[in-house]
Amino acid sequence: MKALRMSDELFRKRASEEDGCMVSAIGLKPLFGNREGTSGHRGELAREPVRLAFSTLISYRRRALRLTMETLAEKANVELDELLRIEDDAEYVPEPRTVHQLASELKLPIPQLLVLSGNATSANAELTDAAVRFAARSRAVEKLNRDQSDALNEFVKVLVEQMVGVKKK
Amino acid sequence: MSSRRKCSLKAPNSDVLVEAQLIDELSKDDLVRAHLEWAPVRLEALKRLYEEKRGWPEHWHWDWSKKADMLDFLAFRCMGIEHEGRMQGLMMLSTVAGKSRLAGQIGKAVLYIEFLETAPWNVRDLVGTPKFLGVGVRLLEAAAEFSVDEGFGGRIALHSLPQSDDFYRKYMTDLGLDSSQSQGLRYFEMSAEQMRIFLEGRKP
Amino acid sequence: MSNDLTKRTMTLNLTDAEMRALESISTQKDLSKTAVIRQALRLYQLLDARLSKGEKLFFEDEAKSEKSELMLMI
Repeated sequence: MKALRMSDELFRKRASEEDGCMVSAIGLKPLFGNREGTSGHRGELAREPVRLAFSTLISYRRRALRLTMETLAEKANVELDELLRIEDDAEYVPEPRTVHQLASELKLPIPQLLVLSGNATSANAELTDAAVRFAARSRAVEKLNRDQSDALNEFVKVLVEQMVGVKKK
Repeated sequence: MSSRRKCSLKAPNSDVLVEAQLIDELSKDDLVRAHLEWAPVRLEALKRLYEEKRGWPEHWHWDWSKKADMLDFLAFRCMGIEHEGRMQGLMMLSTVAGKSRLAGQIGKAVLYIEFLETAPWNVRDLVGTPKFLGVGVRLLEAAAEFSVDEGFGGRIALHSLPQSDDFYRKYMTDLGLDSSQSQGLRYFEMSAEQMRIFLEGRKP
Repeated sequence: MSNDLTKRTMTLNLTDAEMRALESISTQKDLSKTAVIRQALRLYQLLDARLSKGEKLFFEDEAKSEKSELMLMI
């Protein structure tokens, strides 16, 4: 089979044209099925970082407390299905009651969690900044346990320090 | 069994070509290693972009190590470009043919690109001065060659993230927003003729 | 690009009807008979994996709002 290659001269031209471009592609064919909790590649499309921080926070905190999903669902008296969706589907907005229950069980501040989960709004820039940093950090270094735990601790510290009122939606 | 062949990349701001290797079949470990190399650089870039109040790339959260399981199946194959042991770009292909929507070749088999990404240090928006240019071009070139090998005539298809539309428009036909999906992504195809132009530089 | 040294050859015994079907698909899809068989194998492997996980396979006719499950024993 004849090799299909462009000449060096043409490559130089094409490569220069690539400068300044963000080259990426994402498949939408669902052949592989559910990945990262959503069907096809929908989970691969950028989600709002703050909402992603909420999913990751719940997941990390649960794991830090060495709880399985089943155990947490039982202790918090929430549906396992809903907990699965919370951890895997960053587009899903859980019921406020579920957020309350999980926050209590995981010893996290309820008002801040209501904001992060999409159930309440807040003008608190520090909270959203911390959420965005946490989302970036936790996604980027998911394989490294030490960093996961540092990221989690830092974010929880911010949440706990937050004493600002929130406005319910 | 994977094979490696030489391919060149371009240094920025000069005509110098640097020798790299195209690997036509990566392993799961390769993807995990690439993720671990890319993640810290991407993270630093995200932090800086955030501080500068600039938008994040649309694929800021991608994790190639999570895509590794796709390689358990014949239906997927991942290719990469490596330079001095570091992955410069990755491309996940579906070996199950797609169906062309392009006039003149409707229904014909196309090679579908599932994921494509250049290493964060090669992207000007993320790092200021890219290390190498032409990774995307080389990966498209590799896709064209694989498409021919598989009997798909060099035809390629993909869905682009909005940030990449302009790049693909240079060489492929923009078939517009894909109405069969709700994600607001544009669908592109490269015909056999466009492949020839892409590789040879001739205009019709 | 594919390393031909890694490919292996096998003989496939097909009935006349199966061979006709293979030739017809090959012509329709403008793919070689080998390419058709390889496509079938790739799809089969994926379907098998998903069905084994307990997922179901459906055909949907949007025009008639009909959906029917493919009951496959693979």
